[in-house]
Amino acid sequence: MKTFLITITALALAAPSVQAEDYSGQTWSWSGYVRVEPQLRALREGAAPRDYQTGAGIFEAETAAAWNPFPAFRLAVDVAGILRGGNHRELEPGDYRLLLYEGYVDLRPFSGAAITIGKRRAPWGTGFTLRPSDLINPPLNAFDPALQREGAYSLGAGYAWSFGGVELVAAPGVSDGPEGWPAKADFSLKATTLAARLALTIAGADFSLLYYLQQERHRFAATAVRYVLDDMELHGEILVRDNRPLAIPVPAAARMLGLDVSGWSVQALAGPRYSNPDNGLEITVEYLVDTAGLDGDEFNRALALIQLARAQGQSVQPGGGAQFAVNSQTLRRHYLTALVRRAKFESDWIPALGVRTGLEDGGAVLFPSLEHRLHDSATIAAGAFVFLAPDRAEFSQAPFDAVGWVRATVFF
Amino acid sequence: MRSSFILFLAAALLAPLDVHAQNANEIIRKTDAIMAPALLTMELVMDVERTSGEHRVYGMLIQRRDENTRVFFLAPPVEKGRKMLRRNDDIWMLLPNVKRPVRVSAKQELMGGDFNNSDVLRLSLVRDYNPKILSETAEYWELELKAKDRSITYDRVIARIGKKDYLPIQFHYFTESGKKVRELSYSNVMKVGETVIPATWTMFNNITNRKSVASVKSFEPGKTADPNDFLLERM
Repeated sequence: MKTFLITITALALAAPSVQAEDYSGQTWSWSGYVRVEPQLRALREGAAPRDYQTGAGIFEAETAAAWNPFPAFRLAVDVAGILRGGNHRELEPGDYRLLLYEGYVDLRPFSGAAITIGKRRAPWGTGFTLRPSDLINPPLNAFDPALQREGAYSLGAGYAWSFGGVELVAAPGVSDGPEGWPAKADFSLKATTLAARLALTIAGADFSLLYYLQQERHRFAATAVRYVLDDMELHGEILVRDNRPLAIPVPAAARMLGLDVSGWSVQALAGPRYSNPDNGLEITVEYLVDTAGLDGDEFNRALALIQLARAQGQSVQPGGGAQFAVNSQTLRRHYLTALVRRAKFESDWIPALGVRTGLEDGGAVLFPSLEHRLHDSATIAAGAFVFLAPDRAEFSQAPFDAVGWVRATVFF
Repeated sequence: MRSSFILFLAAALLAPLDVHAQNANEIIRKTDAIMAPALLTMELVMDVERTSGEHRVYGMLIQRRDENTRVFFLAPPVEKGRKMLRRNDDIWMLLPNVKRPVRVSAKQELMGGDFNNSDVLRLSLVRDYNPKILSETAEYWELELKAKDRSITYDRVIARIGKKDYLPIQFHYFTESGKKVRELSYSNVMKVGETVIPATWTMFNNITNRKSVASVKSFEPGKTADPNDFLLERM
């Protein structure tokens, strides 16, 4: 614990001296923030184990620095110290971590060419809430994309020209992180993904054609499209794979449920984003279909299994809840997500409302928020996740009825 | 004989207009070559006056490569890391914590100020407008610039351009309905780096009666980023 506090204090103290090196010439660039986020939870009776406390808090100190000594070389690092805890117990070693969000070297051997080595967040795909075509980066949190800041380890080489580019990437596998912590990388050859991407702009539309190859036979092809028409952006992406990834990533559970994991599966997302230049209103609507998700019968069997596990005292939290994060992984097949936000710069207030509905069972998650810019260096925001769902719906399996949060951030 | 005479007469009448139009094009081409060269890196500080009277100051690094322009926000701390990219006619904004570019309108006010996005991320006058000389004095030409299509932010611009150095002096911006919406005054002509340019740009908003002032801190024609850096995915 002491080491952790010393580390994040050192990060905060070291930063101004880095900035002083050569800020205006952009040889160095530097930024960072400190964030405090207390949460209040309304636990769902019978669904939440004892360690899902009624109150929790997150403290995060982050700093990012980039060094461009000459145009063909860039070194970038983004690290954070995170501390989180609940109101009913003492802090434990598992409650704080030092995380590397990004750490990479970008080389430009000749004009148009780029080689990137390290951990970098460079999302592929066009979706705002989910990006099914991106199998390289850790998945987004649909309720708040800013929560997922971690990049993917990769070795990539690319060449760009005026109307597109081509890129080849090798990336280690990513496994789910425990208890809401970021995912862990698996550097074994077996887990490595090879990916190729061809990006083209044709008649004003951006196209990405993607092909993935993994050691275990599975192949994936995907495409992402984005087209702009006045104040409307239309985007979509589709992923086709030669297997059915498990919505419940526990092979034993899948066997117990009798899930058929053979055959092809498709994940597709599409929707418009409207932006009004005069009043700052932004409306995004996205529809997701995932044929690998559970159908009605399979979901009912899964519910029985979840309830059995809970009766035995196990922590099973599908449908929107980990101990310290509200996650947005999907279990079923059809979802509609709408985000409305008014981000007029003239105002220091940014209200937003998001809704995700499961179209098969009628459940919904509302996520309203209000952000206020206090100062050139500070913001404060408040928001909530409210789970509204019938008893046997997916979102009713979350450990919470609601989570409220307040987030104060100071930027350097 | 008669048709040849008519053709000759028509050519004689149209010729001066043609020469005039070529001159106007040549003038703004030379202005573009100074103020918006194909390869450019510049640093700008923009002071935005808000309705409350409060001021906000933004630091920006702007890089241009042919039809693409990108902007990095250097200050204030809450905006550090924000980026914008203009690729042809589309302008995209990227927030550092989201890393998903969102398309913004060229007509949208840049950071709530009085410059529009397209004012700062403009590609060139020649590309956007058909020019015509309206009048001239010993010091400047007064040109009318008519937008080539409706996607251009301002339908009509009355521009004063100095005869001595082809530097812009003042631009008046009009909507399609003929309403004047902005006035941009260029002042403080000085050598920034190796180039003599007006280092202060004052945009007065006729709708809100506010103004924003941009000061050029550095100006380096010929220097810019790699083509890779102008890809959306590499923002």
